[in-house]
Amino acid sequence: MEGGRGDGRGPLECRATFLRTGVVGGATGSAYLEVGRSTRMVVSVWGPRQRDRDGEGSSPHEMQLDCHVHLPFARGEAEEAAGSRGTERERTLARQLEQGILPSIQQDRLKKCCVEVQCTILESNGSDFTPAILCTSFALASSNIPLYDLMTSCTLVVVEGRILLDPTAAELARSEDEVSLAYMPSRDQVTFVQACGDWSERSFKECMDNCVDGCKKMRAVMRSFLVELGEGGGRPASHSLDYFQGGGEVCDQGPGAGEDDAGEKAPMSGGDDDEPRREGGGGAARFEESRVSEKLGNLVVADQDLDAELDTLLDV
Amino acid sequence: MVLVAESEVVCPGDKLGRDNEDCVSGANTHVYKGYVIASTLGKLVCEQPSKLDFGLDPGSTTTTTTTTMGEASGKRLPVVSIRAEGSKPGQGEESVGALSIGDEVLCRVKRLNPRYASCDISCKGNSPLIKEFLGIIRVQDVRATEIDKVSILSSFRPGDIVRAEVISLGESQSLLLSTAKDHLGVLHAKSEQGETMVQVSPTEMLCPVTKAREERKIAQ
Repeated sequence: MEGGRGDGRGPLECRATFLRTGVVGGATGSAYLEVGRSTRMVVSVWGPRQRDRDGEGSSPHEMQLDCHVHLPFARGEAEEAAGSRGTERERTLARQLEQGILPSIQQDRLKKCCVEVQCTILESNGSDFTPAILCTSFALASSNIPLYDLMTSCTLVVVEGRILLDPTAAELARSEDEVSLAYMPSRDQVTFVQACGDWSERSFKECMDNCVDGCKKMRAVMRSFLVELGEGGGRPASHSLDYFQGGGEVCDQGPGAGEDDAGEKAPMSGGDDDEPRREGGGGAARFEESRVSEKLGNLVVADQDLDAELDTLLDV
Repeated sequence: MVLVAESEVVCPGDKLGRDNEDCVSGANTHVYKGYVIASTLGKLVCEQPSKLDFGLDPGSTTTTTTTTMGEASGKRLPVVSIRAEGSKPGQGEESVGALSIGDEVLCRVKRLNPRYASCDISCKGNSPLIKEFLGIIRVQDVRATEIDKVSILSSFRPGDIVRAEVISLGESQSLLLSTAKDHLGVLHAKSEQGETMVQVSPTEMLCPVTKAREERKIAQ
């Protein structure tokens, strides 16, 4: 097995992703996401409706994004006691989702409005943040809420000194370092970074670049699903689940597929995935120092401590 | 040259062309770093402004700008916009129901107060909103003239359907509405008997059953 990952993927390959819209009746937009048959979630977008309460210190004219995450099958007795406010894990994830997805919404066109996002994670194998961002972004795109770009996300771990993209739960548990980011490919802006572990400047840049490449591939995948949805006359895009068996490697669109593809359709549908397209995936990580510093200029870092840590890293 | 063929499906973030060189940004698009970018999922519509538009409709800002830009470079630039799936031409100009200043809305009066009438806003233009918004028509915004003589009780009653304009997003929760134009005001009202009333004078409506007259600020 190349790279020695349990499921036969190369180190920089994502798991196959399946997306579908229109799964929740009555919602403005909704999406169902599966990653590699073992992470499943449903996101529904409600509104825009009028803001009903004043947010924490924000101006009453600003748009409000109300994210809720539900982990209905991850509840023990302690979690049941937490009641309707949700568990710590649910609330943390909701906050991260809100921070990650908000910059992609055109907030100036939704003044005094509230958009509500309900994310239900049915099954999870690996990072929760990345699939939640992807699924929410897909649901938003299907809801006709004005966006700047499709928000994409990628998680990467370092296991025994090797970089692994899109880790499974087992890989996550063995990992030394972990970084997740949310990224808008066509604007080249990073909107959310969460990193933990012991980083050197070089390894952090390398990981960021790999994450960004993963995000760009993800955008091409999402775009091809959306285009099909748009052409299907508004009906939910329905792909057969055979999709997973057809080569299983849908994330490999070659480098930079998300950049200038306005007129170009991502070459993936049904079962024609057997043809190998591995230019972007198996290859060594590419370093472009200038790109990284540009991206870091746009950083919105969730954690103040992380912010300080990044500064010291970049000053070296 | 517009980058995407007409009626092709585009999704948010797709580049459509260079702003003011290839095309001009229309509905559901925005401009970023010199490029016109799609904001929503839908089919691309390119509209070539014709000479007729320029001659007959100089008030339309989009057409005028386009033509001026186009004339400078010797050709006219198409206006690119995105039509959401399922909407007909002319409809779906705005992607979602967020209200902004200047929008005409339809609302139903909920309750009265000497200072203002509270309403539920249910339509923006002719398209229904996903959820109702709260609005108030203050006594000074009912009429354009003699505003000190206006009484809310002789202008609206609960249940009336009113056409109004958004004049401010307001400080608190409610939007501020105004009916201080001739075509704004009560469109449909029922009498105390529950009959639909008919207009008999600029400020009065008559119940066809009881012949009772009630005062309203009527849309002309």
